Amino acid sequence: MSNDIANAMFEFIECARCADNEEAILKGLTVSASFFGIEMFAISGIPKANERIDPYFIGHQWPVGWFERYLSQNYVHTDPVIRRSLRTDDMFLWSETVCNDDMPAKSKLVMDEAAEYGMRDGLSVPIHAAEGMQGIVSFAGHTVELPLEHRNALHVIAIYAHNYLRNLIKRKARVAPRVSITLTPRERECIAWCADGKTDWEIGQILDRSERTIRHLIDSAASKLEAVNRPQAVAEAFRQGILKL
Amino acid sequence: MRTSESLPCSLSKWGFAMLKVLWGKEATRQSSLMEDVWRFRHQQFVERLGWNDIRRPDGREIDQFDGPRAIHFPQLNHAGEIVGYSRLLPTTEPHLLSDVYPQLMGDRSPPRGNTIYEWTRCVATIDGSPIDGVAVSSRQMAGVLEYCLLVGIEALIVETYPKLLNMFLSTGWDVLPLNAPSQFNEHFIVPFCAYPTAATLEWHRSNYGIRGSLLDLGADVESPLAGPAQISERPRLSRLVAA
Repeated sequence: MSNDIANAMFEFIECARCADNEEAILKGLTVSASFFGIEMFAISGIPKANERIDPYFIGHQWPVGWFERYLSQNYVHTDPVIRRSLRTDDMFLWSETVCNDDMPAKSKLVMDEAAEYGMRDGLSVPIHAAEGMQGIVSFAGHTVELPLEHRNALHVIAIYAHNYLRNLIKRKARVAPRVSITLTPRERECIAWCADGKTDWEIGQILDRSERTIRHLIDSAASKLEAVNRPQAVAEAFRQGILKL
Repeated sequence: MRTSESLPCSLSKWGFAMLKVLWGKEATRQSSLMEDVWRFRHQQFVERLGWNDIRRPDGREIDQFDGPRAIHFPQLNHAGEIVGYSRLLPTTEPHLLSDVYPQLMGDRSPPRGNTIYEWTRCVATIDGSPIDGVAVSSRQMAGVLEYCLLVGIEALIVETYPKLLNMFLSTGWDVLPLNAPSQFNEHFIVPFCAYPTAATLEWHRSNYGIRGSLLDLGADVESPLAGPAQISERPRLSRLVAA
């Protein structure tokens, strides 16, 4: 049994070390997490108090609905998991730490909504470095029943995932001086309103265009940004400096 | 070549803030510095960090592994005080992973070889100000790394908390766990292997602004490796998995 744990850990590390793109690491992480009965995970940097989390997301396997909701509601600043990760460099299980009766209403709302998306419990690994907070890796599911041996192996896996993903992103930023993407002023405006959590209809009202036109503009912006959905388009727009924080 | 006897022990008062490298004859020659080393270790590990298992009534922290082949790296500041320390033990002789907690390896055998050393007792004072603009802890890590490259140490074995893997990985080290973390007393400990490379040293130098060597090698620069240095095969994941 303990050999199986070590092998699951080694397998992921081998995958992370060989990977030449982010998708390969996320795929490997999906496989390794499933060994521990984990289906959902997210890896992110931590934004400052006045920033949005969008440009900090490194990779995730959250339910799409939850990811969109988390971004549109800007939950990062009330999420008790994020708050705890700023204060400790030890991993923690949500049910054993942040989820308790004293939780402020705003935090409870985040945790309750997460539970509705199947994330009733989770294991979070804060990643701290000498120069400050680097990020957080969270594993979640309906139930997260992990013996200490499993939690510690996941801790190692989380550290490798975070470091190798960051390195790939950094390398990409160095190698490919960004191909500058041009959005039309209208497309840019639509994405900016998306980042503010507005619906197509609302954006249509603001810009005095039909809902269909707005949807078309956003789709076109997303495809230029090579994003598969809106949250990713928003995140990309931030990352590429098209939208500023 | 200068000899250590001819140098005043307050050498560092003239501005040499470096990592001393002491082992074998050099450690015997610099016995007063070694005395300071034992006391510094007791201060840091027992009094500051609370490792009570190794507390000693005389306030000198020495263990059975501090033999002639143990390599000591006390780091001095410009005032000549010790502000950081590390120790390397040859894995061809008894060391912590082989003798104190072999159970961390499960049924795998620990890597041993001429060019494989175990890195233990690594510490930097918490109140020390940066030296020449570089944090004491960064200088300590970079100094040990530089020495390994200099003498051909190819792998370092470390046993520590899982979260400290991040310190290595985020500072340019190539690092491989040797087994999954397992419980030792109340803590989980992971044994891992860190490979010194020129790229890692370059990472440290450029990211921390370290210029030139951090080492004061003493009178005789001898290789600490026993016998002819062999280029051993690096431990590999696949081999460990198969074990």
